[in-house]
Amino acid sequence: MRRFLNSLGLFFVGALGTENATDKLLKKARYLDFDLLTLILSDEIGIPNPLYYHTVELLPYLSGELEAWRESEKASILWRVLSETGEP
Amino acid sequence: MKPVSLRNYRIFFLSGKGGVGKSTLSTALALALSKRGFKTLLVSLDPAHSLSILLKKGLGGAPREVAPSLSAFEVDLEREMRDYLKKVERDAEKIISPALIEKVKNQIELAYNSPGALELATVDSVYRIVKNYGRGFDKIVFDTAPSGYTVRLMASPDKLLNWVDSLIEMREEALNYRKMAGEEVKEDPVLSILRKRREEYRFLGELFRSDKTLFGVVVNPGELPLKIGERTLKEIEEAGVPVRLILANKFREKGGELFKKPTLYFPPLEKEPLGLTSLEPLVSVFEKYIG
Ligand SMILES: Nc1ncnc2c1ncn2[C@@H]1O[C@H](COP(=O)(O)OP(=O)(O)OP(=O)(O)O)[C@@H](O)[C@H]1O
Ligand SMILES: [Mg+2]
Repeated sequence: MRRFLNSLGLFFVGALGTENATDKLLKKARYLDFDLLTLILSDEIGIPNPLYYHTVELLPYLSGELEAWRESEKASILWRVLSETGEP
Repeated sequence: MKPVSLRNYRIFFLSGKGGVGKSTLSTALALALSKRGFKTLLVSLDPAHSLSILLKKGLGGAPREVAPSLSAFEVDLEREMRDYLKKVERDAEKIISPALIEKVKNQIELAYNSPGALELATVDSVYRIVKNYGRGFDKIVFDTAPSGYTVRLMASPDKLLNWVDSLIEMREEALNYRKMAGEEVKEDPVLSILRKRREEYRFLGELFRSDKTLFGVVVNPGELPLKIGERTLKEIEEAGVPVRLILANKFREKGGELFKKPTLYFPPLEKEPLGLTSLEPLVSVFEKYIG
């Protein structure tokens, strides 16, 4: 499990490139886009979005990140659960 | 309690449970207002097209004159939803790579059946109609108000506006980082969509709470129907929207105020009212209260 998580972490670092100032800024921007996606697609993590019909209008402009967002959501949920249960 | 003076209001919403007489009474109200010389628009948000049946006239998606000073039209909500989501899909097709587009389209299509979709489509229509036709008409009567839940969402816009504001801030911050990183940042569609929604929520919050807007609740006689009516009233008022009128429909005898609200009494008609002239006994009740 830990190896899996580490490789997932490496995947993200890899995807975002080595960290120089510009990369850091872009990474921050990207995480904010993820946050927006989390609000719109909150249903996928179990919290209904009563305004989905309205917010879906934003999806075309954010969903280039959809797959990456899904991975990152899964990863962050997994991290949280593992921090509670400990690792197998 | 002072009797109502209907001329003081510009926008009318009639609420009430299924079959209590919302369509019948909104039509009679619109007719009464138009007879007094107010240029009136009657709008049905009801998917069952009951208005064209009641008026015995075909109605379309644009206002059509049905009597002197009275125009009416029916909103096809399902079509509105389809058109809106189709546009979202077309926007997606312009941007998203072919490899991803199907997944994104599926995600967009979920919106048809998402909780609250029909309700939000309803308030979108109310917003558009009041914006587009508010200037051309003295009075607008909506047959069937948005539900208590929607009224609550829209009538307490502070929460909603704060929420949209934080989304706007998040997006602005992200664009700022991109700019600092040397990317060219152009007109951002996400921001312009969020700002448009913000304006819609602000407008509706104001509209629902305005002292020129009348929310009325239609009730029928009998202990249970009255209980249900009272619940509808409470739902709306708990949302911060005052109910200004009770419309007691199909009452053989006049009574006093119901639920401590100004109350108009409408008699049961001999036969099912169809066509404008058959509504006359109901129209005349409204006419007395136009003032
Ligand atoms: N005062 C009245 N006397 C006799 N019949 C009436 C009266 N008011 C309404 N009706 C009849 O009661 C039925 C229901 O009325 P109406 O369609 O106006 O209700 P509604 O609240 O709009 O219903 P829905 O919730 O289905 O839209 C209709 O057949 C109508 O003709
Ligand atoms: Mg009706």
